[in-house]
Amino acid sequence: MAKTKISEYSATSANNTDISNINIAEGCSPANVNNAIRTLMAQLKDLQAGTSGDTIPVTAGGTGSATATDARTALSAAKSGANSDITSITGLTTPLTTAQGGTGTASTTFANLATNVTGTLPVANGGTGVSTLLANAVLLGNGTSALQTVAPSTSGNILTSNGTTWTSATAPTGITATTGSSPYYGARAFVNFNGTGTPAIRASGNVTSITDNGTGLYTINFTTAMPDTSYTTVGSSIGSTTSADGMILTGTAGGAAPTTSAVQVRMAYAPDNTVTDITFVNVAVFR
Amino acid sequence: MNKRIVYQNDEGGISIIVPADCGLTIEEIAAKDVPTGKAYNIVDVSEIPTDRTFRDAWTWE
Repeated sequence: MAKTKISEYSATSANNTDISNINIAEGCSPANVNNAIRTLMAQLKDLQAGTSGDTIPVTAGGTGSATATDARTALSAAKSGANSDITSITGLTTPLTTAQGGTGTASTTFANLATNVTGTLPVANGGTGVSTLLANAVLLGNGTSALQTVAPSTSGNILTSNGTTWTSATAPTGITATTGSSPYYGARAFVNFNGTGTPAIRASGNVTSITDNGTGLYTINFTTAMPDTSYTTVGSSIGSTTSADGMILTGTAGGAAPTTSAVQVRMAYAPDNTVTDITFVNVAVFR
Repeated sequence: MNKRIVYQNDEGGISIIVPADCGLTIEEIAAKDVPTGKAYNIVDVSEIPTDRTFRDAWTWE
C-alpha cells in the first residue's frame, strides 16, 4: 500500500519501503532518495495545512478531530464567547463583579444594611422615612409620608385625639376630690322616662328598655348585666309637675326581686303610698 | 322608636316594653327583655291607649 500520508506510515522502520509509491527500499535508486524527501515534505505540509485528512490524537498533543466542535468534544472543553456549553460554575475563586451580574464579594451577606445601604428607606418601601426617632415618643402613621411622633411631654399627660390626630395633653380632671381621698363610683345604668300617656324614654345609659307593668310600676332592663344583685338603685321624680310632689321610688311588695339583668321599681305618693304614673321618672344604678 | 312589645305578665295584666335608643332592633330587644317563654306582640305605639286611668285593667286580645 502506498504511503500517501503520515497516518499510513508504519512505526516499524523496515515496513516503510516507499512513500507515495517512490521506492525507498534497500538498493533503491539515488534519484528516489531526493524524490522521497520532497514527497515527505509535501506530506508534512499537507498535515500542517489540514488537507491530508489526518488528525493528531489527544495523546500526542492534538485534538484527534478535524473540526472545532469535534475538538471541543474530544477535549471536554467549552466554547468561548456566547455559548450554552457552560451550565455550572462551581470552582470560581474570584467573585463576579456587580457589572458581571455578581455581588462583588465572596460574602453570603449580599447587602449589609449597616454598611451597604445609605439613605432612609421611605414608608412606601416598608421603612419609616426618618433616620432618628425621638426617645420614648409614640409613633403616628402619616400616610406614605415619614412617621410622626408625639413626645411624652408633661408627666401625667395622656394621648388625646382632636378628631384628626393625637397630642400629648393634660388629663381631664373629671371628678375631683375637694376634700378627703375616698374614691368615686359612677352609675352603671340610668334612665329618664315619661310614665304618663304613652310612656317613652327621654335618655338612658346601659338600658335596652323599660317595661310598663301597670300604673307606676316599671322594670328597668339593663343592656349589660350587673356583676351581681347587690347594686344600689336610686330614683326621683325631679322634673315632674307639682302633682308628683312627694313621689318616692319604692320596691314592690311581693314583686320581682332585683336580678343582674333588670330591676323593678314603683313610683308611689309618700303620704299614702298611692302608686301613680308621673311625667319624670329618674332611676340610676350604682355598684 | 315607634314600636312597643306587649305580653301578658304573670299577674294577668299587660306589660308593655318601651325600647331605649340602645342600638338594638325591636326584635333583639324583645328577644332579650321579654321573659323567657312569654308570647309577645310587636305593635305600633299608636295601638297603645294613652288614657291610663284604668291601666291595671288592660287586657290584650
